[in-house]
Amino acid sequence: MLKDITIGQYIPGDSLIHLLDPRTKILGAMAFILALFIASGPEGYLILTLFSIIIIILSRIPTSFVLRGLKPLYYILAFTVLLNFFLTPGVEIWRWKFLRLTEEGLRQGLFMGWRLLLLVLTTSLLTLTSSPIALTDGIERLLNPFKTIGVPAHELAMMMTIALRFIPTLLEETDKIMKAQMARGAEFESGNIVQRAKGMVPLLVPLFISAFRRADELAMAMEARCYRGGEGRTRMKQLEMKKRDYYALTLMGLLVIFAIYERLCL
Amino acid sequence: MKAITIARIGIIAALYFIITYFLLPISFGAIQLRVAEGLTVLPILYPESIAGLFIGVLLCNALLGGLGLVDVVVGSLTTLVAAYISYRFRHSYIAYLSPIILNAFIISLYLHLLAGLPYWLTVLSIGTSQAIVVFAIGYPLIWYLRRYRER
Repeated sequence: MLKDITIGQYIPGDSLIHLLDPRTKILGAMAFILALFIASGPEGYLILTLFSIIIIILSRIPTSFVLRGLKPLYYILAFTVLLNFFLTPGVEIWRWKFLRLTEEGLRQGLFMGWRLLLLVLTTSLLTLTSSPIALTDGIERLLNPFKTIGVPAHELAMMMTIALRFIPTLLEETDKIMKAQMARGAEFESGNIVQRAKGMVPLLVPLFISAFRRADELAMAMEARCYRGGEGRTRMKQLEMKKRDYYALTLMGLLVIFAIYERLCL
Repeated sequence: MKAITIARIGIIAALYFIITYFLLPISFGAIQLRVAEGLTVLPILYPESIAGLFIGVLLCNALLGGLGLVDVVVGSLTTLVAAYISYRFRHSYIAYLSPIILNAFIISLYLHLLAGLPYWLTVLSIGTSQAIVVFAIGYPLIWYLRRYRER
């Protein structure tokens, strides 16, 4: 069950979107969310939808992969649309017992559902086209200016890297402990929701203690190699903003400006 | 920052991640039982876990799906604040309540704004699942770990 894990959903490639600097992609995703929330009418949404389709095509990620990212969302999406359909007051168009479908509800439900869909599809491209390590690097560089107000940019990135590095190791450990406890009669898959939650305790306690031991060993190894924080540290792969990054950022800026214009004037 | 602190924070984040990964099908959305949320009471014993939980939630929401960037930023900041409150009030029951209450009210707020879910229903649902996890997993976990530390 724990054999083939892929952390995140990164799919390597050399498309235009892949080649963009991770910083550009993070800022671009933020700009897209901003535009999505500012835009309010069909014109705005048409442009944003077209934009999403274009960058999904540009990223050359197979559509099936992009849609797979929606899987955890099916339930919440259906819930959102249906609740808005039936719970929004307004002009009634259809009725069955206590369920009332209204015109406003129909509009509201479709609007909310569509917005959620665009939000998830487009921002998931961020993790589909950049490796977790590239993203960590990007976050570190983006946070660098905030160092002066005490944001530990380098340390934060280092911790994320450690976490990513140790996920497979700890996963293996969890598997081992789970099997060991099952051999001693522990139950992980039966009982009601509270009993099941309680059943996790015999797994978590040893897992935690061994993880802490591992952290101590890691710290010793780091100190033995003279790790002393971000000061004066060099890196093998430098992030570099290219011309295309500036073009992409300008485009995202224009998208936000268009959304504001649409909200105010159209 | 010392190497040991950085290492511990990183490992706690990894723990949060793998525990969430284990139970992914029931971890996301309005009705969720994130077993990993049982770890939210860890700041009672280990102050490092404040940052550890923050990074864990950040990585989970970013890499395992969910609601995209809003979830990543707001969700993890909520955890950060809740964990800090747990740490400050580590000698009282507020430590156990802060992850329940903050998550119930703030996560519902953005689920409401993003997905249009009814606010109070979501508060109730998230609050219940957080309470189950914190009291059925978090409380005994702290009890055992405290006993282990005293040995």
